[in-house]
Amino acid sequence: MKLISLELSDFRCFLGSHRIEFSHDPERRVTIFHGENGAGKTNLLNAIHWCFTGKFTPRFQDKQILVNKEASRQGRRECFVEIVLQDESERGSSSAIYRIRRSATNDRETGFEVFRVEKGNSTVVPAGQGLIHRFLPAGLVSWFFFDAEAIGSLELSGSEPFRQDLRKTLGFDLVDTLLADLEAVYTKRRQEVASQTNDKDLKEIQSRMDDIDRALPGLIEERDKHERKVSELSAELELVRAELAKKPKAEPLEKNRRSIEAEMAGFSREKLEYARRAAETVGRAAPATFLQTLVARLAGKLDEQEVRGRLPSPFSDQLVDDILKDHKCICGRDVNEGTEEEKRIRDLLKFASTGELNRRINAVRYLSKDVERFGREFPADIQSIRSKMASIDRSIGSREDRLKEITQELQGIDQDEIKKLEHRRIELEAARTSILMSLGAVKHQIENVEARKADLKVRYDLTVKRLAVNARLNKEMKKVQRLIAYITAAAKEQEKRALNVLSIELNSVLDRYLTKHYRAKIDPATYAVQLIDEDGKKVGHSTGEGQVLKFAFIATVVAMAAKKTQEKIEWLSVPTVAPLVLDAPFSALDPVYQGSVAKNLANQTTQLVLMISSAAWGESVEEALEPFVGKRYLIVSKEAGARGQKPIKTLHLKGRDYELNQYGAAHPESVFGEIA
Amino acid sequence: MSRGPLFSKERVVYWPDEFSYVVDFLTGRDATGRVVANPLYSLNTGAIVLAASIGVKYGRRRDVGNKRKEISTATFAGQDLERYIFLIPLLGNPDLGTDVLRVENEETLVREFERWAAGGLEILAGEISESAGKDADVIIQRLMLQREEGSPESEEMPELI
Repeated sequence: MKLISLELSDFRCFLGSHRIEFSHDPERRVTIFHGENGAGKTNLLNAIHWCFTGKFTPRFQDKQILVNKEASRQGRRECFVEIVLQDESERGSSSAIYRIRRSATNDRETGFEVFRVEKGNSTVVPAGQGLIHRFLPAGLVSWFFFDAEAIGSLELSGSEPFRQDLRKTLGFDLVDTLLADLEAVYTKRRQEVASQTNDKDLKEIQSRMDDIDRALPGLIEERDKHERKVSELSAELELVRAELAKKPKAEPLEKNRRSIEAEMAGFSREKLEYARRAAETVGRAAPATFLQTLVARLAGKLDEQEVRGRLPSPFSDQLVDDILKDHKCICGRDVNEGTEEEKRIRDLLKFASTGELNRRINAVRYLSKDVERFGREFPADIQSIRSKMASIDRSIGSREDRLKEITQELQGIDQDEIKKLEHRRIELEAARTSILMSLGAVKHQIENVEARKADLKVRYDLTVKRLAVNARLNKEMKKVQRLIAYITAAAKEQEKRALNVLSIELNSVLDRYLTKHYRAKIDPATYAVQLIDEDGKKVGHSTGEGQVLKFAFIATVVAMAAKKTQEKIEWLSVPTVAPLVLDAPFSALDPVYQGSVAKNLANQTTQLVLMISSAAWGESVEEALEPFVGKRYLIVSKEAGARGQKPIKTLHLKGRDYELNQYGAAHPESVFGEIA
Repeated sequence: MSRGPLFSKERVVYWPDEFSYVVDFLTGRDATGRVVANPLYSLNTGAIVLAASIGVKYGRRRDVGNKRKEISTATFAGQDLERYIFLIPLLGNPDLGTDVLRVENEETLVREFERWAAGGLEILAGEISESAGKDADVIIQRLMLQREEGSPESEEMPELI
């Protein structure tokens, strides 16, 4: 999908009608909007976001005032946003053009329509929102249209919604749906088998599986709801903390808090490792410790027997066998068969040493030595581990105290805004902790239920084996099973390949652009992405390099879906291909990385729309983007009233200066001006 | 020394099913087999050897009963724990002597080991129920400390041969 044009009418700071065209040339795929703070860059991003979804980005303020104030004064009550897009995924035709239009008053949304445009004629598409979701699934809008100043709130920690969103972007959700459908077919066949065989056990097992099938979707829905809530709360928390860090009085405290939290996270990981070691050490030494005294006595007895020449036995089974075979004792007397002598000598076999017996006695003696050693070493080993754990606990405790102090210091600052932000932070932390606890409980329930179901399935299959099942049903069940196995294996293989490609591409970007030797690691189970330093330690996502990782991650995912990476994948189903629209993409980045991130974004996307302030427009960004720029607009902010001493801000571009704000307008508004 | 199996043929060690939760607890798993805590042992064999050690230490033995689970001696051998099946009956029964280690006594030896393990599992079940919420390593370490404080085993070892 590509954006062709956008029309705004009385939307926020844009009075009257404004039409802009996006560059959709594959080579010159970047459209840039230059504007100062307050000129309307975020309004423009939200116009696109709202038109697609009916919702706004999290940081968008005054959502209830959509209609331009001057337009309202002039009696116009409604605003609208219209987007023309090109869908390139339709089979059998080169592409299709659609027009989306959403309108609203300040009170409510008044219209949403999607039209298909053919030869200049527009036809309404029934259930247009469904079509839009096909271009860009609802959950993915925040991946493609986003306020990059809030990139810090992008969670790469591997939550279930994150994993689901990534799977959707890469097209795996269709495979998941197919598998769910096949599973439903299989369940139906199983129910038929249970009813056909009329076996009591089978019916009971089937009934329990049906109960689980009824309960599981509700639990999964609850889990996803909690996960999304945690993501929302985390995003808001991150924004609140970013705001706090901007306040001069709060900044050092907030920085200190982040550093303490990072230390605590390190200590917690260390504690988990020591807890694992403690369990392992206790496990290894426990039998030895319990047996130590008994074993010492046994060893003493064995040694005593050995000294007395009784251990091993002074004669071997081989000697007895030889005497019986030769019918002659070592003393020279005959030992004839059936005689009392022969019987007495044969009885000696019971007490003779044998190779096997000696090997076992030796094994016991060696074990006794191991037991003594484990038992001896254990007190010092466990003492060292427990001391370390206690020391970690103290370190965590002292940092917890310091965090409390920081909270008190922040609340003590004589600035209402800081107090409010800190208060909000505490509320959000508490809310997130509470939801995380509920989430943990639900996840635990789901795991239990799924394990029970897996167990029931095994029992079902075993029971079916001993029953006479209708040949047709049996054949159908086996067919569905084979299909599920085949698709699951194919999907797993592709998922493995996708994550591998993602990891290769991501690290290749980091190699090229980061000054430090960091690597990105992706957890195949959760899709969590972690930056790892040269010593193998985790690097925080809030660092400068962490921010670069986030940009690189999004650009790589978008590029993979569009087959724009070096390593390519033949997708099982169509991934999401859409433009990347970013407001303030570079302001959250360390200047040293701005040029490289800009170049990467331009390289990896099929279409890129950027809203940039003059402060973030440096030489490195210009140099990186210039070869890709197809369209460029100024968003000029016009203020009512005389200029007086107020500054005029300018953008210096290709040897020319462009004014970004003007004074003396009849009313405040923002206008677009295209730069050729 | 040779690390080959000590048993002349593969035999089965049984343990009471009623204590499955104790074994799960020691291997860090819940009833569904999911890992939920740091395991003292990665396999059930480790838990059974611990139980037998506790059984013999506290002089507690009992029959396994009809509802039982089984582990092959080959699995013990694979974990280098087979030697305990030979050692523990020798420590626990004054009348056996080293002759119990002879090939012809293997079945007797395994049954003896099982009884001590079943007794130990019973003790562990009691300890776990008294220390609900505590980690396995903490419970076992506490038991180990009790051992150091006072020992109920008999003072004299029997004649072995």
